[in-house]
Amino acid sequence: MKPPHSPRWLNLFSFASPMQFYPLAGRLIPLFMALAILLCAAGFWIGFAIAPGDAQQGEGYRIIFLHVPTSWMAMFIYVVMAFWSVMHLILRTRLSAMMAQALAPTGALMAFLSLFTGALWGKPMWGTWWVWDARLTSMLLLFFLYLGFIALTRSIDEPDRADKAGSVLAIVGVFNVPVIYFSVKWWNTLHQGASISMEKGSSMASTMLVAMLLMSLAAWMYSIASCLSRVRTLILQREGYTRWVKERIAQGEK
Amino acid sequence: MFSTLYWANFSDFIHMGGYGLYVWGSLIACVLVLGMECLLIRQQRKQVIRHLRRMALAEEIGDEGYER
Repeated sequence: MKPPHSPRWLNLFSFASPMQFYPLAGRLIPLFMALAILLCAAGFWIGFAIAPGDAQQGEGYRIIFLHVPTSWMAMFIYVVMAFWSVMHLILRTRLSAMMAQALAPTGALMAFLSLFTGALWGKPMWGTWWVWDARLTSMLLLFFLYLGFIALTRSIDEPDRADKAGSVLAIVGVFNVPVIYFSVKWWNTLHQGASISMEKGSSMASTMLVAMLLMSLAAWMYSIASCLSRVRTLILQREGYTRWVKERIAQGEK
Repeated sequence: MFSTLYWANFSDFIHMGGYGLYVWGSLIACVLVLGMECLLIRQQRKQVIRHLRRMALAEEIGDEGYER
């Protein structure tokens, strides 16, 4: 694979090996975590202390700064999970499957938080915690898909078979994501339409928009950090028999 | 644009125009869930490393045999 005389950083494929990826991930985690905390602090300040109230929803709309980032992240993580699953099925790389499995719990929690903050937003605005409309139901389905993926991959003892089964499930479920996204357009729902769209641009005050984007970036950085930490644990678990892992353990891996 | 505070005082900020319970409830839920996730990730890692240490120890003892 490796062409001669190429600097090592150019050869990204070398990071497909767990041994190469492990220390890289270790170096990246603190960086992404620090970014997440900084972006979250800035987003919180602008969203909760500076942005004005909403004309229709008063101050209750501020839940948007938590609800939208978690919802976006829940959908995006699933797409990334499906991408790694495709990669695993095509290239047979073990690390791809591990990535998918490391992403799933974070995605599930994001989906849960999206539903939870949505319920807390729906109660004062719509007068109900929950309605069985297209947007809410498809989001609930996403949450269950995550749980199903986690349950399936953890119930199979053989890593190879678990990876394959999980990959297929993740790819089958990915068709739910566009359904969630377009549900507010395709069906009449209680849920409001997108605040940001490709055709219309943004329909928000600029401080609100900045806060929402900062919070979304923070959620993104956090998800990367937590996924990388989980991948490192998975690598140790699965590569426990290899010499490099044994050496690291002997050297007092924390 | 980013320097003028929207709130007149701190109790208004907490009250959130009557929506305080919903807004802060959402925030607390997010902090709790993500904080718990971080703890669980750390715990799992410690567990795996502890297991690998035990395996290494068992191997060492196995190699030496019982020559006493």
